[in-house]
Amino acid sequence: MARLLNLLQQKIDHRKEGLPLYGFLGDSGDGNTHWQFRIFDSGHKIVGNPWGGTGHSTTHHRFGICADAMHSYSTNDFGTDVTHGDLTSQAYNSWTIWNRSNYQTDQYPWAQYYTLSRAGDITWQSYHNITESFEFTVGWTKLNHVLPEGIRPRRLFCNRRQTLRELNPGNNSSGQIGYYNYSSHMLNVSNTYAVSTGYNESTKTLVMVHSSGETSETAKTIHIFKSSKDLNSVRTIKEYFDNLTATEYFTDTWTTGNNKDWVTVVGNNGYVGFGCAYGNSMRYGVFNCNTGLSLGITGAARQFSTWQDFQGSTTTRYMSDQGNQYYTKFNHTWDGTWGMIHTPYYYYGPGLNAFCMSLENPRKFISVSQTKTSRSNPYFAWGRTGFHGGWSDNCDGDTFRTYSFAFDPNDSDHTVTTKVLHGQAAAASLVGTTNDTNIASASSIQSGSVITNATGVFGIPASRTYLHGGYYSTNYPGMFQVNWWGNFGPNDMAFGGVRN
Amino acid sequence: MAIKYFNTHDGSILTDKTDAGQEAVNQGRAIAINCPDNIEDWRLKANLTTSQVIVYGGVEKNEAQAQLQRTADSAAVALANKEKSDLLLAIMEKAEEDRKALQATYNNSGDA
Repeated sequence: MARLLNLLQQKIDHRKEGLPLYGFLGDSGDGNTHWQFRIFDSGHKIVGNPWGGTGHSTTHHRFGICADAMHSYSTNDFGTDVTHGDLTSQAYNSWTIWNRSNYQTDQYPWAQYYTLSRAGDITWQSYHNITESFEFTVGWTKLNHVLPEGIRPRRLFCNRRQTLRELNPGNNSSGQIGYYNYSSHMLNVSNTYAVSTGYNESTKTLVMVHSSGETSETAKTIHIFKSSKDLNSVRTIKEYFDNLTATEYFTDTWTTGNNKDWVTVVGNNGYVGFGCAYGNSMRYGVFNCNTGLSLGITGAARQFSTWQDFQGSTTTRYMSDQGNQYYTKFNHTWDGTWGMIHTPYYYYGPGLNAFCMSLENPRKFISVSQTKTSRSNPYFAWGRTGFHGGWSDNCDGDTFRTYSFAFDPNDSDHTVTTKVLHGQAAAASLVGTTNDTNIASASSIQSGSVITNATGVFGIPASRTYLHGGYYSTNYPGMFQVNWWGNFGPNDMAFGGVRN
Repeated sequence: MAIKYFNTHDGSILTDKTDAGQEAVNQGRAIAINCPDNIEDWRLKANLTTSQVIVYGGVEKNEAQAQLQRTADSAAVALANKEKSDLLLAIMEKAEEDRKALQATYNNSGDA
């Protein structure tokens, strides 16, 4: 009876999803001979019902299912080749190829070009108007959310100038749900252009960066708002600001290429990480945004250590200066314990330049590098505390691979090294093949690396999934973001125990 | 010439930063190689057997020329893959035709 009572009293958060899934598309290249779409879980086990079509006609099965007018065979708008095109240096207007760009996805459940259900139904948006769609114009104004376990943002707030807006989540121009001008709550209005905003749901803390413009202006005012109301639970935005319990600010001078690239990550411990693309590199800095400590109104008084430049290899890579849609992205692991501020390594899409940070304590962070310049895929949350993606080489006669890596959810001490676990590039077991291998110390972890805080860099090896690509001959499988991973349930206990 | 660090798992470039690179070397995750100057990082890869650097397109090419070569190389690979795919498809179609012919022969033999 006591257990039953406990169960009844337990608050169920209906936003909580199961472990991450991803869509997987294999085809014959012309899109007409063979097309297969499957959904896999983080253990690369198939879920849902795969679907596909084969034929040799111009009235292909797939177009009926997907209503896919964008990539159809005879009435094609933007080419037939959804997966076989090789993304290297191309920009967004190489439509079919740019499905593979690292810029396609972030912590939000949709992608820039498509939405995909758990059942495997994928629909691409119309490329005819995509340059004016949400992500292409003002996607950079979205809030960066730090959320509880298993939850991705289900409400869409955007901050520009001194107005916080709420929209219907997704890429669309449907009417706004609400808006609120919060300038009366600001303590310093010398900079009036909101360029980055982060929110931490557990501490109900909203941190905004305002600048004197939306390009390369350096002046910054950072506001810290704390409320007794959770922004993700209020009926109107005003309710959050009507219930503020603390407001502080500080000013500073931050240099970057374009202010639209700033990402704000509000840690559970009150430290906040700010990161962005910076030239071909990236930079990341951490500031103490705890309130009530008389920390002062200058950045110097609040900054932890110094700005840290990305430690991986860099080469020509583009960002917001080349178009609003190329803004720096933020993503987080399923359990909400680790975050990732990322851009591609090369031009408009392949590879990965990233800072990964503990969301408990953003002072704990490392650089993560993957230097692919072609045959890429986006990166997604993977497993309990990891990310994967980035690989789309030919699976003809080889297993499909991903660049997967994972962290320890309890590893939040910035004074010690960070353990990163990864898979095997070669055909080898993750568990020691001889019986004398014990994981005795950090330096002897099997398929893992130990990275120095701040200045260390982790280069991700590819991991074999042992999946085939979905077509018996040449195929370059595509990975796709699923908009709902399913309700959290018994199947998700597979990840190794419920954390909270 | 400058020291750069390459991943031991696939020879891809990791970093040109001494602290991060040396840490990776100490852990067996990277090797350090002296690399020619003025070559973009994406063109560098380590030959893990000889511990020598391979420059895509050769040191005499500039980045634009190297990109042109890669586009051509990529197209050549894609074409070779397509030819192989078409060949396999033709073999499967021929096998299917043979199977149907055999079935028809069998059906007409009176044994069906």
